[in-house]
Amino acid sequence: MLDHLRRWWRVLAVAGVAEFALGALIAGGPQYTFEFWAFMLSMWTSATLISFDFRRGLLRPVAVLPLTGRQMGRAWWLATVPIPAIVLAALLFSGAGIFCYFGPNHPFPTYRLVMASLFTSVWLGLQFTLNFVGARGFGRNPQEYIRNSLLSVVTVVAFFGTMLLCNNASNSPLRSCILLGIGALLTVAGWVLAEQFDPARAGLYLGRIEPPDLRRRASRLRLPKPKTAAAQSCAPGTGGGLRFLLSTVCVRGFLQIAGMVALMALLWLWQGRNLSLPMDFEMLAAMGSFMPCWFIVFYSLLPLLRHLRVLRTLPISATELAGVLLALALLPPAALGMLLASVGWLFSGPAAALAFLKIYALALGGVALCVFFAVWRGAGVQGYALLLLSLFGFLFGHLWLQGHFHYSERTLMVAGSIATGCILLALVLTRLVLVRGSRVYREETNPSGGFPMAASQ
Amino acid sequence: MTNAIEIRGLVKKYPHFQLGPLDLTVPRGAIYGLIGPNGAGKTTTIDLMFGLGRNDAGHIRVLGLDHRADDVQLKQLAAYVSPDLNFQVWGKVGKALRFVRGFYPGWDDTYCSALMKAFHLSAGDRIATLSSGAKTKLSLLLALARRPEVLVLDEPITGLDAVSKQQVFRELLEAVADGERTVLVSSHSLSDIERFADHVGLLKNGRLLLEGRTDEVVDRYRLVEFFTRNGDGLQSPAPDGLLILRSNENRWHALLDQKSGAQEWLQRQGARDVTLTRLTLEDLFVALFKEEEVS
Repeated sequence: MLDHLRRWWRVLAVAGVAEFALGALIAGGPQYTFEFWAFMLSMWTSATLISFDFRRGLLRPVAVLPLTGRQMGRAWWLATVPIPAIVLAALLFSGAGIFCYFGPNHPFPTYRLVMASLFTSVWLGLQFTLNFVGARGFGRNPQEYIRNSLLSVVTVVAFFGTMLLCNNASNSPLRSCILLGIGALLTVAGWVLAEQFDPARAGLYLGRIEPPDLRRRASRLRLPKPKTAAAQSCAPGTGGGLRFLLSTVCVRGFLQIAGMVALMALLWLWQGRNLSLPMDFEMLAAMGSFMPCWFIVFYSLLPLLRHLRVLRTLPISATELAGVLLALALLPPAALGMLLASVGWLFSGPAAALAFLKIYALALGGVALCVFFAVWRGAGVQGYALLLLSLFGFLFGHLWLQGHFHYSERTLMVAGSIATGCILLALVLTRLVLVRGSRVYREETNPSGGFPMAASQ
Repeated sequence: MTNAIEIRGLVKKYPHFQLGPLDLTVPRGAIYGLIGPNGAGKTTTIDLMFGLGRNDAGHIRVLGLDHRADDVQLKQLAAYVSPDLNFQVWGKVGKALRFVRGFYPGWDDTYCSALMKAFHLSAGDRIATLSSGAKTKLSLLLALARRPEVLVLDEPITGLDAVSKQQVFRELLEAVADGERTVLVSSHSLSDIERFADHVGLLKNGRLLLEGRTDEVVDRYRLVEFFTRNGDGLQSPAPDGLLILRSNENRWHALLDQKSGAQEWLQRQGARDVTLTRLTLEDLFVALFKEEEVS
């Protein structure tokens, strides 16, 4: 537990300072919404940090220490759920208290601070469950397989759903109840996962995924069938190479993010928002581009980059490889942006299409820079920080452009120019790193090459 | 052209390590074993050949192709095998095969099927669930099935059992049987290198210490045991070609380069009861790399 806190103290300290500042912001007035920032800060103090360690192979040396799985799980749960929750709450209240002390006209916002602390606590619990549900493997029998799969789906939906619903949630009793209720349930589930933690089953983080054994018990008595000649036959079919890679990764990525945006739109409608209003539409477009890009970068691009060594030994030039990496990340959101613009045009007119086009153009610029940062810095903490910076940078860039150009058509031109510049810059820089860098091919051995949501799954 | 790989003046600088200047020659049709202790620069050399990083000086030519100017053609003709190559993102063996074969017009489906059978791999196997040995076999299969003219293997037998090791080397021997294909293999399994490689190069601290035909290299060195008179040491420092390994009063053990004239020097020093023992490649390796420890 102390080892975790000692190794991550710099990140935790930065998050602590930010939480203190958030407390002051909350005290600054009810007009400031805090939920999204509280969520982001909880992410950088939560079990996400342990997942970085796991990907760098932490589990193997820890698993051979004279500790039970339960002790390990419990220590990690304590270090990433209750301890950060208490410390963050204390910092939040301190920040608000100091702000109110020096600005006596501001009343102490007890309700908002309590809500922020509660949200932070359940989000820490949710993220522990999200990161540790993969440590159970697929399950040893059909019941476990179904249970683990269900828990995985629920936590992933809860994670992204929280990001969507959290904005200004403290002012809505219904949304607060949903977020706190589901969060509390998943926090308890996380504690159960920690109590049942077994390094032997965490094959994902030890470099091997145990396949689920879904056969019936009786069938285990039979001898396994020998592999037939047909089963061993090569015949991989034609149409391999880059076309195969692009088609499989891009099509899968597109379907995943299209499903995500569809779900998002349904949630939006369920909240009673009117999509014919420009402000609501802009908001949906902003979130509907940011989240898919996030998904593509973290769950499609990063797992693929762990295989950069293989890709670089193929007979393609560095320029071609840089282009392929960019295409893999850009094509799914680009196609989705076009689709949404078309749908928007049909149902809400050209303004809606324009809203989607300009935000997606900007988002593509951010994703292009993410490709460069991911190739350059890898999937380490620095890499993640740069990726988040790029994605958020473009989200805020969009908001800034909106404010300065007031929905005029010039925004699309500006966004398009920025995106084109970023894509070209990313192409040049990625090629340069592929040619000159040797570190990029010597990333730490990553036992979780097949992350649960990786493109291959 | 007689050489498949020519490395001249290759330098790669890292903050705490420098590879080279390195000159290395792999004759066409040979199985060349590149050996050296951990951190000697074997993987760095191979990586530079395939563009996994850029060298600071020197050049590499593979079948006459420059590794930087002609990298795409080079990679068409040369294949790389390493346990570090991870194909997990493709999910199943069949998908990885389909992906890789699309890059090579000379892909041999019949040979691929035969190798799959020999390596007990099937298209439906999930790569994530394969053992590390099976993953190495998959990497080897993907390299061999394209019938490359140069095959570069970095620690290919790591994680393989004795039977699989034999199988891998059998396939390699078969691959070079026509005398046109070349294999460069980096390995810590010195007994296998001595048995299968016809040329060997020893890397140490980024420099090539020895290079030549395996039998000649092994035959050139002897373990020498000799005695001096009680209380007497050697009159002058040992010359090049004589590496003192250990001494116990008047009894000495050393590594002797038979081509160096050190044997005559020993006689001039009054060494008595000189016995020469033939070494294995592993003995030679241990003797050479224990030098610093002794000194």
